[in-house]
Amino acid sequence: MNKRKLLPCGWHELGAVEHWLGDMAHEGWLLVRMNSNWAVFEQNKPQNCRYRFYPCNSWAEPPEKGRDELFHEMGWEYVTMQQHEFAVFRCTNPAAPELCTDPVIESESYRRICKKLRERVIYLIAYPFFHTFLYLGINRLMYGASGNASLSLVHIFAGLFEPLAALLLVLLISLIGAVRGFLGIRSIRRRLALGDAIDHLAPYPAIRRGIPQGLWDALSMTLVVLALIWMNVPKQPLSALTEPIPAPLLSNLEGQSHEKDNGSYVQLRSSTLSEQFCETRQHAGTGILRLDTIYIRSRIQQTAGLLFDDLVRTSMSDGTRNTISGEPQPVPLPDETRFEELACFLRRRVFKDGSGETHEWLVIARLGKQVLRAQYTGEQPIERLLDELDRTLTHYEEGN
Amino acid sequence: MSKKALEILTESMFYVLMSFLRGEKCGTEIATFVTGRTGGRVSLGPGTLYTILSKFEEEGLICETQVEGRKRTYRITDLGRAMYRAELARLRACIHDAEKEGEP
Repeated sequence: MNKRKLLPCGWHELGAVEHWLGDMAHEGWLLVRMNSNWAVFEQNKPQNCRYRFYPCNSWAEPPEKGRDELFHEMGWEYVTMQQHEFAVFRCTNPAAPELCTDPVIESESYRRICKKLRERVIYLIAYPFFHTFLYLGINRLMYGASGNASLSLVHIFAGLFEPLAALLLVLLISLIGAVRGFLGIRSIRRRLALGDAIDHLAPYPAIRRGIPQGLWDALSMTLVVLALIWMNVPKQPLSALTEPIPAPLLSNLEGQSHEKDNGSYVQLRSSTLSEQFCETRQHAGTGILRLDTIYIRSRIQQTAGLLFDDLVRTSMSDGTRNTISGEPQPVPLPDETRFEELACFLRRRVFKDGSGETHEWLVIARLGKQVLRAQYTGEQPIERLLDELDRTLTHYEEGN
Repeated sequence: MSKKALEILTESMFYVLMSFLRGEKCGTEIATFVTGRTGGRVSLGPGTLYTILSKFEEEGLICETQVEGRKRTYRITDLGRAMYRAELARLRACIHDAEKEGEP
């Protein structure tokens, strides 16, 4: 019968773990295998035996030539490997010499492990910086010296915040564990170099204090998985249209003054979109957002909320109950326009006093942070609309 | 162990080299020799012995001569003998200086 038990202390507290393994053998449980968090035991008759960790110089198992044979001849049996750094040996003969009798010699055998643990710490620290600079470098190559590489980096990762945060948490937890292991083993090596042998009967807590590293690792990996699942949850699809949607038509604006800004055909919002939304819109993924019955096309869910809110406010402020249905109609931008983006939505306006309803097109044009909206019911080509919007924007800019 | 460390041998290392002076030996024979020669004062654990043998072989002080099943036999090299003699001379010099100084 096998039993699995959590280590009572950190894996790097070698003396305490050896003591604990010996006590388990005294209770009739012999070690079968172990890692940095768990030990698996098989039931046997209670016996007094000693367990010792011996540093390994290679990853392979079986290990270096002649080691196990020599140890066996002198009364020590190989049991298992612990995290590819230590081989665990067991001795049931109380008369057999101790595994390592010269602390100074023993400290030299820890040199490779200390080096490896230090490299692991350095790697975990350097990993996020390396990849950050790698992406910055790639973006600078793609966008040229004048490109804003840091913003480009935000563009790329704007939709991946949760998984990235979880990944950084995983790295941080791994780093803490690696630092603890390195400092623990280095401390052992330094004491050995001074002639101070490992205390193989070091005390260990009866009940483990603190959360073991393995549980931290499991928690952080769970967060990563949850974040990835959340990111890929399918959104509710748009409802199907029952009537054909006429093409967007420009209202009859001929003869209208450009100073006119009564909200009936052009509404100018100079601060509609947040800086973050504007700057990240260009590079994020696509999606359809739905707020009750209002649909809007957006590329970043979390930052398009601001556009959402403003759209709702302006839509609801004119005394009607508005719904926007259908998919946004893609409108190709003419070459001459300076607007960066254009989206058209069919809007059904139902008057709250019950006097009826009307259909019109809601057009949203964006230039940088400037967002203009227009409602259209006339018959004009789209270029005319853009021309009107452009002149309205120019008038606003000159006025400011 | 660095090169510099091997310039001065520890007590265990010195006795391991000593064990090869009269011929080839395997691991358990070395441990038995050292324990017998020192009257139990110096005990060689298998881990310590293995580390010393590995390092000596790496530094060229000893070389493996044969492998019979689980038993590996080593012999000392000329470099090993030179290292042993140098350490012996150093120890003798230490004893000589101590004897000149007299008992405390």
